[in-house]
Amino acid sequence: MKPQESVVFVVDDDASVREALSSLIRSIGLRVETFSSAQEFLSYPRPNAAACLVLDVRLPGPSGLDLQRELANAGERIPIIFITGHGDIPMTVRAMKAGAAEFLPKPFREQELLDAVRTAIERDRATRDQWAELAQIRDRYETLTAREREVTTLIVKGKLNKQVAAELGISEITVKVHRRHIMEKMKARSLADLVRIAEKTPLENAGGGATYT
Amino acid sequence: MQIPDELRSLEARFAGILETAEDAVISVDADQRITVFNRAAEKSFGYTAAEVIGQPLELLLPDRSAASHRQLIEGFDHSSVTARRMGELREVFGRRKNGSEFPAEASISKLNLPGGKLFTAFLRDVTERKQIEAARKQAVDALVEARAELARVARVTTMGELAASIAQEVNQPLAAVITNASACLRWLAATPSNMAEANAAVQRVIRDANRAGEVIVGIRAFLKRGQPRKTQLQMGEIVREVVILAQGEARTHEVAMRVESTADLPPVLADQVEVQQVLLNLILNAIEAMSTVTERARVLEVATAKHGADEVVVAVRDSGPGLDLGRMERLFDPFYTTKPDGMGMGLAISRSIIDAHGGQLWAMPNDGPGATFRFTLPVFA
Repeated sequence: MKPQESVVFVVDDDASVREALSSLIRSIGLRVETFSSAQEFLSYPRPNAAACLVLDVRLPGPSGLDLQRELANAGERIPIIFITGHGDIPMTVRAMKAGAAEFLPKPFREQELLDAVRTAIERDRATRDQWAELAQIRDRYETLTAREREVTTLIVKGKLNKQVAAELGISEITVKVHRRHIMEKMKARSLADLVRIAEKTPLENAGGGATYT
Repeated sequence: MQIPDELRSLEARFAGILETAEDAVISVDADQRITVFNRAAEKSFGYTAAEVIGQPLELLLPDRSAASHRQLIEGFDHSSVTARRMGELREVFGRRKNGSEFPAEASISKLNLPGGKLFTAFLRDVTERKQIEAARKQAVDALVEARAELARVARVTTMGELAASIAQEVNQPLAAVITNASACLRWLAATPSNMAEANAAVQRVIRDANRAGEVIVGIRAFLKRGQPRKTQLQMGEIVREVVILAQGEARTHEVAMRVESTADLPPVLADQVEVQQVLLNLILNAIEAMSTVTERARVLEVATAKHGADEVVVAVRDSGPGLDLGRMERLFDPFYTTKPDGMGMGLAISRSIIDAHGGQLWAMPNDGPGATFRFTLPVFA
């Protein structure tokens, strides 16, 4: 899956602000999509690409904070840069506690906004890479047989072949064969590599967890 | 020569009538010298008849009107009219012996006698009536001024309440201006410069700065001091300006505002600021009334239409909780309020404003949810 061009979503009910933000962000070479309401944003089929959301706190219908909550509930981790013309502190605190990347009062300095946008996109790209890697590990883990999974659990705990064989009631030779298959299937170059992979994700729970689009 | 008795008695009767008349009676001959000066004239002017008989009429007139008065009589002399009634003549002033002046109503007649022409003026001292009139006018003026001042205070109060949302209405385009200007600089600094984008950004700067300016102009017009002055106004224009002022408040309360207007509306005769005040008041009431509504859309409609042949009607319709039919008229009473922090003057002032314009302001519950307030204004003719 080839990553697409990164995109900045702008949600503000004021057309003037939308147009201005679109122009400013496009001027640094980023793709921009604008929306006048939370609903409009939610119904848009978002591409699988590094992205961030520039969101007005106060919107008709569901507010910016409502949209933040809804996205979090749906397990979407798009970084959010809040903009507000009111700058009231309790609202800022709520937004930041709920994981907002940045909170900028209008009118903002353009450099601050652009820096926040770049940082947010980088953060999203890194998160996406991590999640992609995890997904890959899970996919590989799915190819292991039940017995190979049992062996994996034990060897990443640092058990020796002999100990594994004794614990599972199989021969040491068989453990070695399983081990070779596991290394191949998980694309691990060494035991240390396999341990590192295993640390990245709770393999026992593979297949579950949050979705990420 | 012997004067017959009848003639003597006629003269006595004539003199009696003259002396008991309520009005001052003054006759002058063709040279405008005083020949008759009755008791009422003595009382009004403070001269005795003996002092003025044979004197020129100017003695009884303020210096500034003596010349024009002489012309007036000469003009009257040459006209074919023989009498002018009281009130037909412009107001005249008499000069008393002590030099003071008094306003008077006068009538004048001329008689052609064998011995020459005789002009007779009947004068009524209207000092007292003038004083009563002036006092009444002063009272009415004070009342008008008090009403205008009350309305102005209410406007300032309203503006104070709206300050936060109006600040937002200025801040929003201002933020857009700054952002567009920054974007423009970046488009210009790019290699190669993107002139199309830079140009578009500057166009938006102009548009948005104008938008911010309109809000400021609206506020200043709304708060200006001065007496109400009725002029020819387009109601659509008034509605547009008020909607700008109320936009922020509607946004804050998540109310969608819609404006409807029929084409070819005739202009109305009204004071712009006062009508805006009434409309703003009705709109803010409607927005506030809808703040409790959660189960349906909060919609506010401002519709303008012709009302009969000589009126324009403006309707402010909300989707709020509606009105209690029994208490509908009380809404317009001073100090009556359904709001916890309201003063209860808004609708009372609004009604007094519309009354002063010769229109009407009333409320009706809607068929569906909510209420509609309407007011009429006379068409400018």
